[in-house]
Amino acid sequence: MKIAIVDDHLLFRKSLAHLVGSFSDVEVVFDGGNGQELLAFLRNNSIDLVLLDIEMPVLNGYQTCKILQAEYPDVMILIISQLTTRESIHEIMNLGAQGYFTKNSDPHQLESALKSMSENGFYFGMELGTVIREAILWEKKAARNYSSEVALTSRELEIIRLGSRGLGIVEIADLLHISPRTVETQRNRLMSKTNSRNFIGAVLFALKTRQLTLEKLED
Amino acid sequence: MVALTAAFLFVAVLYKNRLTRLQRQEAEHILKAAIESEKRERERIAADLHDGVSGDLAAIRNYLLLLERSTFSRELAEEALSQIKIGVESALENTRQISYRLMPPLLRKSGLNAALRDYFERLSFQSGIRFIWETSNDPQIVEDTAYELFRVIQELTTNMIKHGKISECRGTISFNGSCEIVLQDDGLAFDFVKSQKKKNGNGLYNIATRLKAIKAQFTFERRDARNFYTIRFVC
Repeated sequence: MKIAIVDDHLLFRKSLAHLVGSFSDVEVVFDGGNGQELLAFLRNNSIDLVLLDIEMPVLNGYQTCKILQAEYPDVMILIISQLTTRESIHEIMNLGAQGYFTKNSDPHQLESALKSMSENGFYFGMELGTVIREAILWEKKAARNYSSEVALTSRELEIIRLGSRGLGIVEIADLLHISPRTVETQRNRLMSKTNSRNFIGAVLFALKTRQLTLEKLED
Repeated sequence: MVALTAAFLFVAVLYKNRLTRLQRQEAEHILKAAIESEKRERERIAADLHDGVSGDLAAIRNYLLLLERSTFSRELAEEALSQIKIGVESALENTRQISYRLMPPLLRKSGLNAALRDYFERLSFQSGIRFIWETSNDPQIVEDTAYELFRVIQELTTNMIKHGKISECRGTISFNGSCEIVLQDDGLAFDFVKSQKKKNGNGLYNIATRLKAIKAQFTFERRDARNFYTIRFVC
């Protein structure tokens, strides 16, 4: 997995680059102090994932997220910042990032966070039930529009249910007796169908359009 | 005649009431503004803690974790150790600066003049610009007033460095009857009126509210290619 690190605190950024570089199957191909430097790098290089700080000069994390989504939709975004977990969920839903890692949490967990990003497509560092409940609060404020005309197939609903239990693509594929590739395709379709930028968005969609209940989700 | 007197009294009372109300509103306004500028200063300090000290410590923790992991080369270990050293120094320096911003230690112990002399020395050292404090004897100034004055001068000098392109700044306190602090710099002509109009998030607004709170007068003058900032107050 090719990773970029963007944070304006030089010492912290370098330490992160060293640490992440020591993980297996991971290569740090870029580190920079703001979003603009990252975008310049991306003109001629590709990455799979970016560890992105929010508060930065020139081009902050929020602005960078918007541009990445429009121009490099395949790049996964893991926000690295200092907000508390509650705030961070609201922030992630606003940004449409796929994950959040707080600078205060144990860096040991960063390796599993990266693994979860590549296997599940998201990471929140806390129980998914908590994330979803907090996301429902966020959704009330954001007043997102849900078209109830989009019907999810039973397979898609199953993927949502299993995904929110924290199962990875391979595990879901095993349970449903299909190939991991199919799961991945289905999941991508699910996101575009529900017009969501991250998995939690798709979960919210299913809940809001009453195609799934919270009880069933936690069942 | 009686009717006229009564009418006059009535108007006078009305006027007095209105005046009291205006004065109260003014006082409330100043208090609000003072609280607001304190809040902004707190936000800045919180951000310094957040971005500076926390970041340094998080970096140190990352390197320690790296050293804990079994496989690393000698080069990496040396690099990690030297980075940890830099991180510790940086965290110490950031802590010192934040603590200074919260309350300059000399201000309470030795008074405004000593605190300002020390502050000017620090500024010279940090910025490479000549900051010269010319007064040696200390007037007796109430602590609250001294604190506001210190903040105002901090704000003014920060502006000079940021926008004024100065090579020198001199400061004095003198007192005969009332106190007078004069700062002068050789920088770009400072557009006082224009700067004052920008109300929000502006240092100058901060200065104005602080000075109002301690009932000090502020004047600005451009003379002989120098900017003169004068603060007059009762002491």
